[in-house]
Formats: sequence, structure tokens, C-alpha cells
Amino acid sequence: MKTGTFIAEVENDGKLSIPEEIRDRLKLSEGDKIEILLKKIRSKKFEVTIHKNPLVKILHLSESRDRE
Amino acid sequence: MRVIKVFIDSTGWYALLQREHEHHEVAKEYFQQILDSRTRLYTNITEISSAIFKIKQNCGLSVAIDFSKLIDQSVLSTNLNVSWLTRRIHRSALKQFFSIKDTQIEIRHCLIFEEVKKKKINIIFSFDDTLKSFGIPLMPQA
Repeated sequence: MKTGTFIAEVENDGKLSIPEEIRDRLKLSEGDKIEILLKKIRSKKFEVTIHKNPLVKILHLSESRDRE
Repeated sequence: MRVIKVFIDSTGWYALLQREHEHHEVAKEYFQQILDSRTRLYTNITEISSAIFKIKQNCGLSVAIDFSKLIDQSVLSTNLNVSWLTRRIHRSALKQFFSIKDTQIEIRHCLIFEEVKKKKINIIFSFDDTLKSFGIPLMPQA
């Protein structure tokens, strides 16, 4: 499981930004499915744990098959 | 909002992985819908083992290895609930198996049914028509 934890500030419309470092580490690209666990911390910011749902990759496994 | 619980059997997993399977596209489409919705996924260790065997046989060793790794990661990330089958479930399934006259029903079908009953699962993702006799909705409709 690939995970990344970071502190984020909620913007006025409820949006959160994923830092570039985390996006690169998890190789996230547009359309990827991720699961987010939110935890409120004292500084009124949020700690966010984020990881890709590994099951999404099953949809692409048949394309990478090899006959042996 | 009501959370739907779906059990995937070995025929469901296999259809997802086997490109030439007659229901491959339908299986992929339904699986995508599951991932996009509030659906909890369940399976058991006999179905996973059977799927890995068929995938290794027909799709190749590396696909089978990748599949088993993804299943493991999904369990660890709580995206998939795999039942390891307890002695109690096995005993109940055996009891049911011996009481059924239909010779097409295997012990694995009874194990699935026990799991579905215990976890209050709504739908079985399967292409095995034998499961229809248990009266639980089978999806996707091929």
C-alpha cells in the first residue's frame, strides 16, 4: 500500500491540495482513485492520509498479461 | 445512504483478468461501478486461491503473481475483506452441502452462502449460475 501523510489547510470551498511531493511519490495522475482519511488536528488544520485503492489496478492487469 | 455489500467469487475475479473471457468487458464495467460507489467488497480464501490457479493457468505466471499481490495490498488497505474461513463456517457449509440433493452444488458454493449469510451480503459478483439456487442476486447480468 502506498501512503502519504501531510498537513493541509481547507480552502473556503472545502477543497484540499495534495502536495507535489506526495503526488510524485504515489505517482498520482488525473483520474486516479484515492481514499482519504481525515483527522482534525489542534491547529484547526487537517492531517490527511492518502493512498490509492490497489483494486483499481486489477482493471488493467488483463492488459499486461503474458502467456508463458 | 445504504452501503451495498458485494461478494466476488472465483468466476468474477477470473472474468476480470481473462481478456478472452466471454464476460470480460461486462465484468470490468461492473467492477468499475463498484469502485466508484459506496460498495464494500468481500471474498474468501478458497475463491481467491481458485482464481489465482485459473489466472496462472490461462493468463500467465506474472499476472497471477501481480493479482495475488494486489489482493494482499487491498486487504491491508481495508479495500477488500477476505474471509479466511473458520472451522464454524466450514462445519455449517458441510452440513448444508450434505443436506442438498442438487449434485451440481459444490462445498465452495456452500462456503460462499455461509459467508453471504453471516456478513449480510446483498449481491454476489459471479458468472456461476449454480449460485442462483441460493436465492441471492447474481451480478453482473451477462
